[in-house]
Amino acid sequence: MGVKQLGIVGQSVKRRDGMGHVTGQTQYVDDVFYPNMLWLKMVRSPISRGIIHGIDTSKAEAFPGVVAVITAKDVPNNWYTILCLIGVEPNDEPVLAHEEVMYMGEPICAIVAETEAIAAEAAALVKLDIEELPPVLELEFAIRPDAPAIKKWGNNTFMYDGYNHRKLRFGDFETAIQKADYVIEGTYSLSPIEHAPIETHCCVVKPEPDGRLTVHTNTQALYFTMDNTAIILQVPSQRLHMVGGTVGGGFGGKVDVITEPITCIAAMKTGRPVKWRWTREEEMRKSSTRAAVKMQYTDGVMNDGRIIARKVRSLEDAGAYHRHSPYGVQKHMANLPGPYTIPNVWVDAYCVYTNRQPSSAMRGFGVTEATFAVECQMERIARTIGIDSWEIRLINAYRNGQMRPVQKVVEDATLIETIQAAAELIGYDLPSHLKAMSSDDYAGNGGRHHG
Amino acid sequence: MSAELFIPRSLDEALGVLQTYGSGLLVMGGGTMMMAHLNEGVFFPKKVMSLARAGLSGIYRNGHTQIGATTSLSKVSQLGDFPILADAAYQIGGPALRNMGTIGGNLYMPQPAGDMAVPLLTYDAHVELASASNSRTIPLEAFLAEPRSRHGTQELLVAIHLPNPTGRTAYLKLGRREANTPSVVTVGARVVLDGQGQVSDVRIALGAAGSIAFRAKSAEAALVGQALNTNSIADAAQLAMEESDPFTDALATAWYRRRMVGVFVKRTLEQLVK
Amino acid sequence: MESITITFKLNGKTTAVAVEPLTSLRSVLREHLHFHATKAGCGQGGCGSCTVLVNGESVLSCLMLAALADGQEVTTLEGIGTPQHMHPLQAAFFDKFAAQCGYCSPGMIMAAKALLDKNPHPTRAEIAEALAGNLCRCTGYVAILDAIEAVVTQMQEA
Ligand SMILES: Cc1cc2nc3c(=O)[nH]c(=O)nc-3n(C[C@H](O)[C@H](O)[C@H](O)COP(=O)(O)OP(=O)(O)OC[C@H]3O[C@@H](n4cnc5c(N)ncnc54)[C@H](O)[C@@H]3O)c2cc1C
Ligand code: FES
Ligand code: FES
Repeated sequence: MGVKQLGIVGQSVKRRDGMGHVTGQTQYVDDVFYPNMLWLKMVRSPISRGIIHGIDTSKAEAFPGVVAVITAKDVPNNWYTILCLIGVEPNDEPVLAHEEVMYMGEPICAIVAETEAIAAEAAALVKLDIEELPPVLELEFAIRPDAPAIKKWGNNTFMYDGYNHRKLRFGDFETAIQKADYVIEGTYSLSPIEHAPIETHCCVVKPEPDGRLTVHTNTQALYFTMDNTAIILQVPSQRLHMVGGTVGGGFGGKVDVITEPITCIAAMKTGRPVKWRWTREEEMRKSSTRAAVKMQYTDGVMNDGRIIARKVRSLEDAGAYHRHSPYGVQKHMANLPGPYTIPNVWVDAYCVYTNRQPSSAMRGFGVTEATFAVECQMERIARTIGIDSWEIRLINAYRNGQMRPVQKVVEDATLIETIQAAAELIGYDLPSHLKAMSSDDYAGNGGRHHG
Repeated sequence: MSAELFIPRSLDEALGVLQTYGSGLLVMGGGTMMMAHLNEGVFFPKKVMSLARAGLSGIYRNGHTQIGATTSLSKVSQLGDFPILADAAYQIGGPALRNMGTIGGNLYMPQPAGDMAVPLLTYDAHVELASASNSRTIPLEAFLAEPRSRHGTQELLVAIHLPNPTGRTAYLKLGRREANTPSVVTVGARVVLDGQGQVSDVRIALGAAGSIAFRAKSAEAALVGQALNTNSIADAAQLAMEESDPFTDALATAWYRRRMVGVFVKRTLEQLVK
Repeated sequence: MESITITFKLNGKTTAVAVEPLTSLRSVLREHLHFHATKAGCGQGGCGSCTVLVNGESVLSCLMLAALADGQEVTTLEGIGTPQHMHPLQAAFFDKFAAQCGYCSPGMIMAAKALLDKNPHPTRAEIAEALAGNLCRCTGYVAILDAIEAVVTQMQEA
């Protein structure tokens, strides 16, 4: 097939929304105002773990200007998990906490008032009677058998097919590691990372005369949010008129369905439009983050640089609830061996629960973390055995036709070509045997061609 | 619960409001910190006074230099004859913040903020305080050591007084980024050398290295009578580290801050060797 | 509710508004007068998205008591250009892809305007220093500096 005339590829095209942005005409969710609109503020847990014995809202309810106070009993389907849409179980997170609190900042009770200032002042008057329990905050501690179990199913990990971690087994690691010239270990850890969009979470809901709700939201996932909101509200999704698409930065941080259900309930309960927007502190400290991870590598490497065995144990900190982590760890597990052909692989990836703010989606979550660890480890291998950093990667890079540990044959590999192009771009002259390598140089019968 | 806002047009009027409401009154200079607390809902004051129109802004020279308490950090950053005061002001926030933040309000900020205190300590600043019944001028050092609450005050800071500066000065701020960043540590130094090139007088002030900004007096004492060289500088840096009592916060650990005191005292003093 | 009346010039027009005494200038602009270009990224002085000009000087409108705007001249992004007649800075931000999600753009443009009004020929380093108080989480600052530099060059050529 000949190359078609491409209409737009290769041309610089102005952003459709760009003029609105630079003239201040783009309407973000916080720019939506309705007459008679109420404001919502959240009462949040001041501690990381505890049992709720009482929520005294009487002073807040009596505060002039307060219109409604919402607690767990106002939420039609309080227990949920956002990935129930793809079959993740069990429902482990309350929309509003009522039995226990699992992280500092967990939502407990919403105050709806005539102004935002009144809502904030009244929220400070809610008296919480919470019995503090020792929090589980550290990954290694959380998976110890003697750690307090913070999850209802009796331990602190997500259960994958009955195991407390996701397993990946390929070849025979135990035998291969015995044959290796070098055994090279490395541990790599990441702290949680906040997305920090300049626009904080915001939702405005207007009840319509026909019983529908118009939901203005800065979610990154409009339909996903609609489905989850409908499940929580126990209403058919056609009652939700979702208006979105304009997001002041998300980076994965705005897919948690975290503002819409409560704002809808507030609008239903009061019959008036309601706005809930988060403060910067809420955005930084209460919204989900990228997970903290600890990844431990044990590699068997031959004198010529071939990695013949790789074992990885990884602990990913989901925080208090699933959110997107069970799925994130699944991706994480698949990517922990890296884009390299290693015949014997063993991975144990744990999705660990702690009493920290939940972690969730963020730009390639699960994968990015693995890549960080893999590439650090590749450098460590190169330095330990005294081989060039380019060579170690090119020797081990996937070739088309090879089998990956996840039991998928490699197709359309481009790692070798990308590395070669990168070398050229920075003016590094690769030795000729590395230049000669290609993603298609795999002979197919277990042998490798090294150019 | 509506609040009441006072915008007095003179110092006397401001002192009258303060006397009437006492510690129930929240005072704002530029308001850059207090408004942030209000916006976040940290507290809900009922009586607030802004000093923005009280006539306390301006720089006057009369044998010495007087800086009004509500003089903006932008104005302070243009003070050519107090270069490290200007530099320290310039390194706070961005231009808009400096247009609003005041030098007086800065001296009430808890560490690691309150960068202005460090150059001011090196210049031997005094502060002038007033209440409806009294007025006093005390060394900045004594002012910083007085206990204070986050809001509510008995007296107003009226002005800062600076003697004419002598000697060479240097100031360094370590943050987590190049600009618009709170301090990990700050170091200010002023050195007067005698005819033999030996230190006859010296000030070394440290910020974010303790609960308040302070002078590293044993480091200062060790330098007097010495030439500024690798050894004397290393000794002073070591003593300054020992005198520090830093804290851990989201920016840095106490461990790191103490080490950076050593590194930055050294670098600051090295700038004075020319 | 005890309210106070504030009268000021907003983008050249005398404007009066009655508000709660502790209302910030940002809230008055956005929530009372519905000038939404000025953004609300933090309320803590940390992001610069609420930057406006008061008597030509840049301020963070979230940290300014609206009462202090009484009798002053306030300029917001709406006051410097429209989609039909963009200010050169707006045109350059559009042209050079300096706005991605756009949430920081109003503050960036106002901070840049405050700079160029005082110093029409800044160096790239001076432009960067003038934007020290403005955070962008999307675009990357390079495109923003490029856009402002393009305006400086245009002005030099004109
Ligand atoms: C984005 C950002 C960055 C910042 N970066 C820095 C930094 O790098 N370094 C730094 O030091 N600070 C920094 N700050 C903190 C602060 O804004 C500055 O220290 C500023 O100088 C405070 O002055 P203000 O007048 O605005 O304070 P205000 O908020 O008005 O007041 C602060 C305190 O001082 C009291 N007060 C103010 N004036 C008087 C007076 N005349 N008499 C009695 N009491 C008074 C107030 O009651 C209050 O307790 C930053 C703030 C922000 C928002
Ligand atoms: S909203 Fe004012 S600086 Fe962020
Ligand atoms: S364009 Fe999104 S924050 Fe700057």
